[in-house]
Amino acid sequence: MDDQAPDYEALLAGVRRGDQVAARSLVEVLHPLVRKIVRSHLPRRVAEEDLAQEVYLKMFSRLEQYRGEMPLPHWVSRIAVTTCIDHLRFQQRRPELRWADLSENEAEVLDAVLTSSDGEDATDAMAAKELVGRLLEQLSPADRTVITLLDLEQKSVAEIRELTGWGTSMIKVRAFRARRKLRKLFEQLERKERQ
Amino acid sequence: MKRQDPWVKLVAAARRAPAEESAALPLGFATRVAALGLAQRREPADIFGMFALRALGVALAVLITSAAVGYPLSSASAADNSSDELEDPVAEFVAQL
Repeated sequence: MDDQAPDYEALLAGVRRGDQVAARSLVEVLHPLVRKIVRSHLPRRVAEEDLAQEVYLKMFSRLEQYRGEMPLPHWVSRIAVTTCIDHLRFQQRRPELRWADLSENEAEVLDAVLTSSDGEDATDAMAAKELVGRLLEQLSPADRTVITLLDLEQKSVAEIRELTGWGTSMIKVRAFRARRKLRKLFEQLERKERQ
Repeated sequence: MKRQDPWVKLVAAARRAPAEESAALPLGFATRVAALGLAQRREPADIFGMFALRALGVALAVLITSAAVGYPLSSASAADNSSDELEDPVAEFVAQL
């Protein structure tokens, strides 16, 4: 693949004319971005490919609404994020997370983050990622999205505002609420483990 | 010593996890999605056109039916009304005086 930025204008013009090659190229060019968003916000029991397809179909159907006020990838990112949130809303909240539900590696990671005093642990990164996923499932879709973008992907509030269309104060309130809920979850898990 | 927030430690560990990379698009995915997307873009106008023609046809049929059913009834009732107007017993009585 060449290093040149894709010519979105030309691709969009092609799609508006009904050019199949341009439409396919647009999907190919945008796929790394869409795949990344879909993968990091993927609800349970929803196939990554199906969700990505839904994002592209929304993009094609709303193309007339795109006025070029923001770069096309930003506009598509917003569609991807809102599509993921819609799917998360349909997903039933998981029952309460218990220590017994965790795999051996996840339990070790949880024990390490709860007991060690220093920040740098020799924890299993993959198990930590899985555990993060389990904890995030306990949050509401909007709170989950904010905390994923903020803490896992380390995006700024301005970037999240652009991706979601939410206001700064709403994002901060959601992040605060999500972290408080996560702290409570840790406390519950710790308390129940010691009982 | 204050304990560090376990969530902060956990996400820091999770961020170190290698990203799952499957760079290649599934076979035929882009072609299929592009075809569906373009078909979807063409559909709204077609559907609108199809419904507009159907609506016009139904409206004409309703108009003709209502005219066909309504005209004899309205003409009959107009005839009844005109005969009623002619039968005026009071006027007849006054005329006889």
